[in-house]
Amino acid sequence: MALAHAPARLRPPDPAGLVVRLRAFRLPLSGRYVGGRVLTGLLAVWGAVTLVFFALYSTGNPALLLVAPDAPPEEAARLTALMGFDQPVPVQYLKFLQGLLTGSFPDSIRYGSDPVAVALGRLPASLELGLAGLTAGVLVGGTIGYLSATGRSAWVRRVPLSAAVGLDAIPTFFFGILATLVFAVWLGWFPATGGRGLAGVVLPALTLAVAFVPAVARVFRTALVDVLQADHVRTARAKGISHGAVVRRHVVGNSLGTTLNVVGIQAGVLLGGAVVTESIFGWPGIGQLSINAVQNRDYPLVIVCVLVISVGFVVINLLVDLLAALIEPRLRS
Amino acid sequence: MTTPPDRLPAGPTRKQDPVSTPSPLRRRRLVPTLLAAVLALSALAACSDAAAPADPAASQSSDAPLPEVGDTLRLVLSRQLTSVNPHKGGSPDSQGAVVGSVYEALTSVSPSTEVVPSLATSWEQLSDLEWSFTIRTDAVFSDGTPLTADTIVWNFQQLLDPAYKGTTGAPLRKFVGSVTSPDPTTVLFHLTAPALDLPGRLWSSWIIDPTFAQGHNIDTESLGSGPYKIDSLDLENGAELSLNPYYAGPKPAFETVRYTVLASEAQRVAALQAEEADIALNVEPLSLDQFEDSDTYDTILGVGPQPLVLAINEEKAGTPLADVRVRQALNYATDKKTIITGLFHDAVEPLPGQVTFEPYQTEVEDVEAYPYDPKKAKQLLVDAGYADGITLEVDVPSGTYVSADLASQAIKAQWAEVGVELTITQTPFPAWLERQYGDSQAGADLVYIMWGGQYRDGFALFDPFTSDHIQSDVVAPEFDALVRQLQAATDKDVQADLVAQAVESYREDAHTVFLYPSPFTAAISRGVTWEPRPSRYLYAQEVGRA
Repeated sequence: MALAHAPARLRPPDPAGLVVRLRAFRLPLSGRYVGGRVLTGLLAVWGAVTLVFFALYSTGNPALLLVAPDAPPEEAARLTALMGFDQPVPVQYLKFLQGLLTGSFPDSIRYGSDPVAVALGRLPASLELGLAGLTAGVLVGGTIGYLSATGRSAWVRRVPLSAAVGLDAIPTFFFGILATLVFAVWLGWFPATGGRGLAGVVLPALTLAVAFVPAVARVFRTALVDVLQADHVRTARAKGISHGAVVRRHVVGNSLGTTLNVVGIQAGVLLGGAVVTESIFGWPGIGQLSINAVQNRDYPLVIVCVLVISVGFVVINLLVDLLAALIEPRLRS
Repeated sequence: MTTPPDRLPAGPTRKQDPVSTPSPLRRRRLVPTLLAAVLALSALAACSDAAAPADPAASQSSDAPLPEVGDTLRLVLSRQLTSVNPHKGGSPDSQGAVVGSVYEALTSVSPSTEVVPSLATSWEQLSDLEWSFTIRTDAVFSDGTPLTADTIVWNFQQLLDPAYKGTTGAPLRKFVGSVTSPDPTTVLFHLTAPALDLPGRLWSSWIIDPTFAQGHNIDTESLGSGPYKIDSLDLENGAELSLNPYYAGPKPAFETVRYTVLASEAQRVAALQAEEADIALNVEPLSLDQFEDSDTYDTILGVGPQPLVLAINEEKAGTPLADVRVRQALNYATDKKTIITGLFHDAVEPLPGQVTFEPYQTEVEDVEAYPYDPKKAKQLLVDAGYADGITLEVDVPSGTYVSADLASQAIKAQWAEVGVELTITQTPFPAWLERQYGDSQAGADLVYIMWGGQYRDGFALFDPFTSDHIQSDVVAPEFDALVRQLQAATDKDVQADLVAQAVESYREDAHTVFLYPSPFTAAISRGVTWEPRPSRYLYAQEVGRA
């Protein structure tokens, strides 16, 4: 007891309890947890690019695409050797790994320059489209989810959600063509041949948003319904708080955690998942670049595109994981 | 054989529209049409009998006002640009069109496939192995640098260097030893083998400024002496061009040009429906039908200069195609005319038993197409010991040739009647190309392919049909020998005789299944003028205002 009291007498005055709070402060996430996540992410990136490397190199020789149709037979061998594709695949893989570590990749076959610069140059357009699509998808999906969980009328609860679920059944390429037909060809509101700027982004963003709306609507609705049945909501109602106020103050905020997770994952998918949308609308993003690189067998560019997309995916998922762990401590284990 | 003058325009002819009152209902009608085109091409094919066949020679006058054309010419390409490197060649419906608007070569090929002057004002064959080209002195690159004979020599030195990354020099290295310049207006070609069609072979050897080429990435940057210069480039989506202020030739009609890549048929059709294109090539014949009543577009469905065939793999071990009777049977079993009527509205005629055809090449007289004769085909198969039929595979490159998938389905059905079971493999273009370059034992039995011939009477046209060509799997020693002789001939009469022998030999031995010339399709705004170039090179400088 004396020992217990002694330090207390020596403690300087701390009216605000600042020192106590500082001593009690711990980082919300341990370094080990964050490090583990980062390592997993790096392994995922390595796995993705390695898989793509061997998939590409096992399917053929890109030098052959450059051979002129009226070239002599030895031209194929000449170009193959000139581009280094005559070396054994393991040797090429080692060179690739060396490039991966040093950031120095072989030149893009089509662009004749550093593929990293080519791929990164396309990233802003992809982010612009992705952000527009995600925003639209979250707003529309969130609204539908909210209405379907809190609507007083059965029509309001069911019709928008059914429509959203119906959207899920429409392939992106079909919706894109349909949107072009209706809004560009028929109504003439937007350009049919793509282009940047506000008018140019609307149709691709709309097409992209359609992929998010059903997922966001369903998850947000489920979360809202769960929270609406929680004890604290029942208590709030018992206290006489209006339905609207209960939903605003006690339900929506508590339902955002799960929805945020889904949005985060969808945002990661966006980076590589907008391939179809970008191709349909001629949007100069990394999705279109990568699919054309595959078609033209521009191996260095394909691999760098996969690298950029997978790094983006991993980073977004890492952020979502960390955010989720901050919100929900049980996840840290 | 000379070409009758009236045959030249018979291929691609603009089909103008009757007068019609614009109606809001018209656009609505287009919606289901395009949907059908995208979703059910085969269904459309089935419906094509009901569609009015397009007569390629038909031309109707129209009193409808001409559609407005803006300051910028809008041209649609159907493939992504591979690069804009002038020394890497280029597909006509891709970078070939852009490069040909920015660069100049010694010679040029007119829309009717005649070889005409470009940087060279004239040329002369000094001996079997030496040619002299006289060079224009007013050619200037778009940065003001003059183009000289030395510039041309430097370009050919690069192209002839085996270590050079440019690819268009490979065919030249077969017969060009060196290129020199004795004076500022003359370039001499010293050959290692005779080439009577040398001027034609130089049409795509584009000339770039050496200083620029050595200091820039010419895959994506350009400096040419052609009518236009590139202002912005996106290999995936197209390029924007403006006038080369130093261009010495006639000023093009448009100050600026936008080439837009629309790789899918649906995109091209949507662009036309939204009237966002002035010229679009490679539109499926069945899609063109919907523009028949258009006030904005004329349509073209005509003959292209390249022959379409089913290339035969005769090298595969144990293949029945090694037997000439089987190859002849396949030719007799193919009803080209029905396919042409069903898919191409009779716009082309079957190949005349040879890969040369009028009006683009001189046809060899007395060589005729294999008639459709299924009975004879069956008998030939029986004679060859295949009374129970055979199974073959055809490899078709997806999305590359007009209506190739439907045509191969039709051939499959026709051959089934004579006991030949045809398996159709659709392969993406790169893999398809690589399969041909690869081991013939792993290749398909047949390949649906179009071989290029860009200029009239260019005997390099025969190369792809010889045994030692990089993409060929035939065994045709007699034809090979004749081709070698005709390409090395120094006398035109001797050469013509050898051509006749080669063509006859190939037809008799049926080393390929002769189909039809490539159909050439286009939709052209009535607000512009353009002499159709069926080789599909869409050069901006050749488009005028109506």
